[in-house]
Amino acid sequence: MNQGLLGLPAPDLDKQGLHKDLKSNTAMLKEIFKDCSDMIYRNMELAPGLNGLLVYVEGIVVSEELQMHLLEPIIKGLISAKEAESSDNNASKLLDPLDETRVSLTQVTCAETWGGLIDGILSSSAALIVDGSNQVHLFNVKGGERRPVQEPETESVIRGPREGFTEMIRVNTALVRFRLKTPKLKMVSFVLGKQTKTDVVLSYVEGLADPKVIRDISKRLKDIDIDGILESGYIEELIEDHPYSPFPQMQYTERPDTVTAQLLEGQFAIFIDGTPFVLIAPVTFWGLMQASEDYYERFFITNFVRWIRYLFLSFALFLPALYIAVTTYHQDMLPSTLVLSIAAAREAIPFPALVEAMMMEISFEALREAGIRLPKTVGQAVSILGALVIGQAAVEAGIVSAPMVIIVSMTGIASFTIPRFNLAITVRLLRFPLMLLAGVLGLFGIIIGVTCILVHVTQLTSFGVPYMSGISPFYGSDNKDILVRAPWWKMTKRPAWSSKKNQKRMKTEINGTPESNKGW
Amino acid sequence: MRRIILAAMLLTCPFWLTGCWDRKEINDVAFVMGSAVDREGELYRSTLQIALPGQLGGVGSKGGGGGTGGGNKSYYIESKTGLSLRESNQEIQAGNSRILSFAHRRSLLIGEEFAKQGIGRMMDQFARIPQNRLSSLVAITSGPAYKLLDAEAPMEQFPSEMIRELLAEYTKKPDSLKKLLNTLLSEGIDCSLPYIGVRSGTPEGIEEFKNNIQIVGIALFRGDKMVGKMEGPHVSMLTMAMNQAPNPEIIVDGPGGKGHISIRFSDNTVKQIPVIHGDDVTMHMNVYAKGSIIENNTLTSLSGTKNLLDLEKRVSKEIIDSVLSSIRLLQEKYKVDSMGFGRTISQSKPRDWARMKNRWRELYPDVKVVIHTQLHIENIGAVDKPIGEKEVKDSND
Repeated sequence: MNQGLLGLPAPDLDKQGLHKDLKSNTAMLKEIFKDCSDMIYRNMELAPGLNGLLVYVEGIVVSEELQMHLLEPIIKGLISAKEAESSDNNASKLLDPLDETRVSLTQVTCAETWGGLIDGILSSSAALIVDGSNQVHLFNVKGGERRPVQEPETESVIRGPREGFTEMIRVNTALVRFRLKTPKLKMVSFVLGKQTKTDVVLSYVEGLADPKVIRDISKRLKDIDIDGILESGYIEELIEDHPYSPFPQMQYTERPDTVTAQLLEGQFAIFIDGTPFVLIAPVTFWGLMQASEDYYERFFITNFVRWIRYLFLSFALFLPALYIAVTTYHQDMLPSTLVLSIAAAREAIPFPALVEAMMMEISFEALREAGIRLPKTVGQAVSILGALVIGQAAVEAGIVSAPMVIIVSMTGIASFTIPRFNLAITVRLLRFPLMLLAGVLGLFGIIIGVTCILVHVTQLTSFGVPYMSGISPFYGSDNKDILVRAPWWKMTKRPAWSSKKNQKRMKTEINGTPESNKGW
Repeated sequence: MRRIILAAMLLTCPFWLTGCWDRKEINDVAFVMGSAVDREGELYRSTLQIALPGQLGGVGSKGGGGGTGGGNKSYYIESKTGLSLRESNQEIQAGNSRILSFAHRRSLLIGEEFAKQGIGRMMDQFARIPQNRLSSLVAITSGPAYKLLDAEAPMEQFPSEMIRELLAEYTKKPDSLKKLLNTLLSEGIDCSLPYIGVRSGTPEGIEEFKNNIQIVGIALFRGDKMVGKMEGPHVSMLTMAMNQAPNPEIIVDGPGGKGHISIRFSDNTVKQIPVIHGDDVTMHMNVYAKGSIIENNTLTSLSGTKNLLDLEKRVSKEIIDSVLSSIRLLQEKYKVDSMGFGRTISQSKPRDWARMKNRWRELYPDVKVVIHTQLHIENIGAVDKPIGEKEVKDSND
């Protein structure tokens, strides 16, 4: 049985045509939108003797626009028509509500079915039902109160644009369009979610993005069959290549400049109405280790920062595991003085290193979770409790050793240096199995764990692109932007994995030596 | 999917079933910081210096530790005898609640009496068990070795650590177990080890007597047996001739025999060049050294080329005399090739070496040694004339 609106069995409603009779249409509409107090019905006379009904949902339309561009012209026309009627009987022709000269709104469409009408009303259009016609006019007056463009909270930069995406998809696409003034920037529209009818826009630059990937992603998007899409996460999980991989295969961002840069590297972006997060794919592991500011600051500091990130990525993943392995199996590996100070600190600790580390890491994760969920005003209490109880009291009470606290805090700081939060989550999760392995098999266990991770990561793909692209498979020119960030004038090519056919970003290497100084 | 999950679960089982493999927590390990080997009749006496982490000031562990050391020492000493080194260590283990770990042994002390009977047989266990790091530094002690393990070392946490630091500073390439084994096994060289002892650090007659560990000389070996030792003023020049002294200092009389001048050679190398005619071997030793003047308590200025050249000449003579007299002692009294003349010949003239190899012990005492010096005194310091004197007559003017 065909599922109709609201999931109720209403087999024909979607395709059922409207009546010609206004009264029965009104009754039907009021039946469908029963108990919907935000619906506004306004009976009006469109022309002398011609009645109509204006229907819209309050709050999701711009009332001023409706007032100025729809109601006023109709009423003015009506008045002049009525005046003219007293002198001229043939004036009713002027009052054709279809007449484009009367209504000064740009987006006007027609619907003939109930399905079309309902979709229109719910997608912020005002519907005008005219007596005696089975066609209904939909005027797009989308609007209503939404958050303005603000600085993105999750990705702040020191140097770089301050604009961030909002919850309105059109604002978001516009923010990218401002930056990419080319007709090759395509914005393919989808409506996903049977009940949320969420606008989704797939955006890419024609000629840069791999057409195969675009065809593939379009198909995957069309195949989505779900009742609601509220956030980019829904789509991410529904379309990714390897749903059981802990590694993120899409990137999300709040920054229009990031999206633009990625589009120019041949990736595609998915805008979703109702969320400021835009999905970007295909991505590589290396891409997730890059921040937008890497490209805005000069390359010296960028390289330095990038190495720090890689270093701390390995800290975040391995440090607790290494500590466990070294203190429970390989005391011989440490310098004598270090092993003695660790031994001195651990002398009175009742737990084995693994238990101690697990305890601390889990409470640290809990602390972080509590910090995120709590209202900001209470958050301070949590950090004081965390710092005092876990940091100091536990050490003084001899429950936890001081080196362990150092390890946990180092790990915590390290996981915050990863620029993409979704990759940071993966690293945070993976360090627990590594800790267990280290506790069971020592360094040997860590090596087993690392091997497993490497095997997984090298066979992982994001929309057909190998996750480790650049290193494995190896592309020479891509290495200008993986472990190092070459100066811009050296990066003449786009990444090989994303834009295979159109790789040239610059014609030649330019660097800034002035002509007059050449030869010096 | 279910099969994958099942397989994953089964594969994970062995990890947990192994029961944490050979886990040993850091608080179940007793770290041996230093050890001493002595001979007691037919038995080995092994003395271990074991760290007491509880006394090292970890939080929440005040007053912990314990052991025979007592007091506030951060270590305690345990000593047992056995038929072999390993057995005597096992005896110590039997009386210790924690697992002995030898990986952090800083220094290995060998008693003089033990060394005289040969150290070769004891070496086996160091190489056989990788846990015994070959990086421990080795020294021969005057008297029983265990006494030094409990000597005072106020600067460091452990006497063995202090000995290690002393040994490491004493030579360019510290005498580790590895280097010792290497020398023992190579031909044409007899090994020599630092000889340490306890010396008084206070003038005689003072009530509170302080004993300090100190390197007092070089222990000389023939094969694996200690045959003698060099002590006294020539030691530093001998180590320099062995190419082992990092910063040797020499003291020469001032002009006219008044006062002394100290010179420190911060950069020095010695090259041995053998000249062989039949069985007649002449070893040329080229001493190249760069140095600076550390102290001048004569009353003369050292500036000016003439003065410096004069000084260099005297220093050179001093070095040659000193080294030659030491080598004579090596050749005639002990008959040990600690300088490695044989090795030099084997490396630069392998054919001659093949001929002399078996007779080297007989030939060695007759090797003629010629020393050439090339000295540069580059830095006379920040002051020209002795600074504490009002008027100095400059002989150069």
